[in-house]
Amino acid sequence: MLKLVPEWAHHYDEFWAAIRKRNLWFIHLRYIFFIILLLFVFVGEYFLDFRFTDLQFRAILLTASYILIYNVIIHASRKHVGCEPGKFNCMYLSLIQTVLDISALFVLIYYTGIIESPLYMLFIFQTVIGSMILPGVVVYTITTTTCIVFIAMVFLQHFDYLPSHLIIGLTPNMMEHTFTYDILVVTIFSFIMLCSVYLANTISRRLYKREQQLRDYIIKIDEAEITKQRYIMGVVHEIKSPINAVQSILDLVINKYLGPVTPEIEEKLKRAKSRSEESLQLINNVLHISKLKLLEVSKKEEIALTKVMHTLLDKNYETASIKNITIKLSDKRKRKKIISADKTLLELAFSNIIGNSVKYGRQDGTILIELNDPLPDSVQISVHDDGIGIPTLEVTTVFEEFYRASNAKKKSFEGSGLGLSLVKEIIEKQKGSIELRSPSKFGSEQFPGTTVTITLPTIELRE
Amino acid sequence: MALIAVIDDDPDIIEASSLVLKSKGYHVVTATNPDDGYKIIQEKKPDLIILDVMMDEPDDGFFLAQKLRREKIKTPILMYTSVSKTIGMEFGAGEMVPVDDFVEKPISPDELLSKVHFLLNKE
Repeated sequence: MLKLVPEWAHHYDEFWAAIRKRNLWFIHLRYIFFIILLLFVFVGEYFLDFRFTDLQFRAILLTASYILIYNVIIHASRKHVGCEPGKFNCMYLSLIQTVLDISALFVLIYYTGIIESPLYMLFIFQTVIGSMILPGVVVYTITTTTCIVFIAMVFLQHFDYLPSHLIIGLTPNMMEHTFTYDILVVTIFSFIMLCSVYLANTISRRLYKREQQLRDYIIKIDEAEITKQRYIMGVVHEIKSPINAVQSILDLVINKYLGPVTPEIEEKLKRAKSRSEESLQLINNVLHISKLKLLEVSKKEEIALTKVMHTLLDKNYETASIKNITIKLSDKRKRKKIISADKTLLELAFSNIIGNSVKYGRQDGTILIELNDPLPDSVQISVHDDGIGIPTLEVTTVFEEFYRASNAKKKSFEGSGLGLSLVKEIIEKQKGSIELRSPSKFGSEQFPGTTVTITLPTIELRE
Repeated sequence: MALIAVIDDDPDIIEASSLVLKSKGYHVVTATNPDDGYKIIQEKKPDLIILDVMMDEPDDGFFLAQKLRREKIKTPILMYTSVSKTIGMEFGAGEMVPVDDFVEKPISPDELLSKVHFLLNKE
């Protein structure tokens, strides 16, 4: 199969979006052209001083209907034509459109007088726009063929091998053109065709390439930023370990685990401790900023939710089975749309939530994960459990950093108190929202349970 | 008196924790990497495990904790963390840490003792 996708087009999303958009323009232009043709045929002679013969009238009408029919077919089928290189894709659709358009134009030109037809200018328009989409070889082949056919038609007309279907009223004094005149017209025509196609093709290719390069650079910059922040976090973490050790040793002495300490020494040691605490605070700030930066440059990937959910369930299965907790997944979505977000971060967020449900769940409990889409452009993921729940007054405060619900603290469950604030941060970075309810829909008096509902925007395949 | 295993790759942290724990009469066994830690847990059957995150080791503290739970060893685990509260990202995506409580470094002796006391008396 003819290879139409250029080598350099590796950011396919952008490339295909441009192709599809251009195809759509063409389809819209063709409807307009159809209407103009009809006006030309039916109304033209009342306002402008010209007339068609019966044959011309029928030929133009037939061609117009032909254009309308194939345009409707292309319009209807474009939704089903995918964007996969190697298969029949929208590039082939634009090639077919170009060939159909040019053949229809030839018929129109033939029936409006060939060299006398005002329509042959449309070839330039057609090939210039075509050359923005299709690769050089194809465009030059089409342009050259068009020029050759047109030149042939002009000469065949000149030597009376083809009849001249002139529009009555355009050339009142019928003159014979000299051969030189015809040669001049076709030369200038071919020159303009080839030049404008060459220019349009090279300029648009350069722009496309530039666009793709820019995408490359953006990705590289983001990757560099991630590496940098990871490096900073690593280094800072290394610095933190010895300070932790210093503090632990100072604590031993200050708390008199090694025997009595004189008040002066104790005072100095406390001072040393407070200074090293300062540096820990600084380190924590740097780590915190690095984390925010990492969230900032998070990648955008297209994610199928069910796949993510199944991975998570597999990973949490073992921990849940210790408490004999059953995890159920129920997919109630009417539309299976994809979401665009950072997969690692999203997994981290969901795993935190499911992890919480397991952690604060009761023995032999149940966790129900529901996927739903009450609104067409978003998806709702609800995690219901029948665990210890959250006291009503604390439902909003659990999102604060380091906050742990009072009943969670009382039972000394594992937990750093960071989970939910991080989850909220991640979800909001992905333009979603999170909501917490307790009791959940199948909680009991003793185990009210919690429902966490996350809403994330979904995306359509782009036009 | 209860036996506590302290597993950390920083000898100073081990020494400091041991001193604090011994001062309250606990018996302490120590290891400086997850492999040795696993061995002493198998041999000495401690009543409580204090386990550092040990991010530098190939099989880190999380890995050891998960391995113990998989083998149905239900000894309470108290985990030392260093950055969890600040960033919360060291917990790999999709994984849960099956430990009973965390102590954030630097370790304050009082906090350590109260958590150890709580975990040992929970059963």
